[in-house]
Amino acid sequence: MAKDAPPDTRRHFPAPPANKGLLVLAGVLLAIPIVALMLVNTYAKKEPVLGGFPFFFWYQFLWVFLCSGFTYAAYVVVRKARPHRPMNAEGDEYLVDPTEDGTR
Amino acid sequence: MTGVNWVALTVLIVLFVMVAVMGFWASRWRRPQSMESLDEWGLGGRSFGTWITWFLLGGDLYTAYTFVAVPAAMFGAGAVSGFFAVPYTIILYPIIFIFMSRLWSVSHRHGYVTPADFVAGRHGSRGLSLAVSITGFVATMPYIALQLVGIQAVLEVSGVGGSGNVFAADLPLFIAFLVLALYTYTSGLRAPALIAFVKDILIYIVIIVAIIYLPSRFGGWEAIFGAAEKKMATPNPTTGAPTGVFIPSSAQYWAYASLALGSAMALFMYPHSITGALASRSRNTIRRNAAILPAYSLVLGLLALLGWVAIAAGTKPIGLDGKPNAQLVVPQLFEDSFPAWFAGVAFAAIAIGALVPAAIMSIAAANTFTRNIYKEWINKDATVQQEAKVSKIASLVVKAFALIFVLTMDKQNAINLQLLGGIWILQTLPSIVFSLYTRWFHRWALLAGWAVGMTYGTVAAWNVASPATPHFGGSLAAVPVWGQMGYIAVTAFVLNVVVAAILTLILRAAKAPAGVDATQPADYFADEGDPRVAPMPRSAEELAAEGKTQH
Repeated sequence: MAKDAPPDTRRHFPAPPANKGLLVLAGVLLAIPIVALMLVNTYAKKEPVLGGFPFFFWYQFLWVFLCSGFTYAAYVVVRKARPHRPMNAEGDEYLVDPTEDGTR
Repeated sequence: MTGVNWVALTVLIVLFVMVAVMGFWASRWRRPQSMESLDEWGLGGRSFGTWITWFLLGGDLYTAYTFVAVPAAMFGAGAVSGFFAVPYTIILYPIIFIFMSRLWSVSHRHGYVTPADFVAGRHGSRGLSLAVSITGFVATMPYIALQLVGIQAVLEVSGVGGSGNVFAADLPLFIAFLVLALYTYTSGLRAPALIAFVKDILIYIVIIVAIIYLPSRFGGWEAIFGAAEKKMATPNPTTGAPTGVFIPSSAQYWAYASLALGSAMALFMYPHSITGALASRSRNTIRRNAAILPAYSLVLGLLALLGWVAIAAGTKPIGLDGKPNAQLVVPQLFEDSFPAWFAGVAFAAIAIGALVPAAIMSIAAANTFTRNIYKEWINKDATVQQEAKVSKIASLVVKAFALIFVLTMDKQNAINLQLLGGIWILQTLPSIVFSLYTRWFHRWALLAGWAVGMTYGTVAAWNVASPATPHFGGSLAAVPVWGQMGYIAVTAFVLNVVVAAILTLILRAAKAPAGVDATQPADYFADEGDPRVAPMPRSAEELAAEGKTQH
């Protein structure tokens, strides 16, 4: 399997720096809808009925909107947590040295 | 059902012809300098912005078969096998938000077209990449066939096909698929991207009208839920068990949750979903889409409830052969409740809804064949033009195969295989998604975990009996040790990961070679505008050849 591949001589090109705390926050925002919907016991019931809809149904419809909101919030947070760093034309270095700014 | 519904059929044909014209015209839309590469033909130039991607992915993921099968499941078996589609398509988006932008970035840097391309580059393993590509290919095939089942359902309700002379009966389906095959061949991914606009707008109009008008006609939501509760509680005359599920009971919690979770994790392992995502212009297009795609989940949820509206309406889905067929329930409900012309619009929405995913799936399957089987194993030195050529022909072959499958074999086979496909495709998740984050898992361990998951999943699905069939009777089975009913794909996935982790520890201790990683940490964060990594030369001959052609 790929024994003839040449040894990797490229220099290590690290990920752009990130604000770890904000990344964790984004993770929590994304986990909330998943956990909420996995806990079927919290919503598998008929009451309270809303506009003819048993709770089981309108509650899950509500999560369509809540999940969209949480996902958008996570989008705003991750863009702040790790702003994009353009690469140079050769694609082996960032145009601005990542260690120069104070995010670390 | 009395004969052919000419008005509905005429509306259906007019909309179908309009869409076919758009499909051929699509080759001029956002016209590239040359269509002769997989980046252009197979990924639409990797140039789609947020809104085109929204329509494309919406058209790709919410297929005609979904629109027919989900309400049919609600009508026949109730909430666990039908309504799980709602939590499934909600939690889907946080899940893809997490990993899809990494896959986009590394594919952008390295020119990957399929998930197996990435696996090959990350692990330097042709074996693991082959396993991923074959799984993707095999899981996609029955999915394409099922889109035909969606078209068949609307044709049957409008009174066409299904009976009499085999050739004449299937001619409309044959023509529809031939037209689809031709415009996919000429326009590539641009065709379904353009047609998706029409499909999605039609679907939204039809569902919104139906969900506002139908409940008032059949006594309001209270009466509809009441009728469904009554039907689901009625004992089945042959088994004595209740007909279906109204609201899951405590014994069904894990079944409901695992169906949603397993399906959500599996969906973006399918090559056609990844094709839709990689065709987007930038790293964040897919993340923005994760926040706006749930609009389709709302539509799917409302559509699921139409299965219960049909219970209140007393819809009788009877096929042209005179036998009951739950798959016809939504088309039949529309034919019974709406003027013929609007029923025609609804039928067109379903039929066109089949063309978009069928086109994307055949493109994705063709790309998988070209990149991971043809180029990797048959013709290593294939040029980009040859790749495009092979892919175009493969897309025709794939569609011909799906058509033959549906016309000659029992439809149940396609449904069984699609059920299996969902179980199989989830087994590629560790190789694709885990590898986006870490190289801790050893390539051979991932391959072994995949094999164990595939075997367990297949055997477990084979052993599921239902009153209708002794094998492949459903996707739920008791989880070993725990005993609760759960989605087989998830149980198989857990086994897969455990085997991969244990073998990784052993292989690492034995210092088994890990393979060369062609990617760098920064590759996972690249965005539009960042340059592509030049492909690593494979051999001295290739280097020499490049030297000759460079000026």
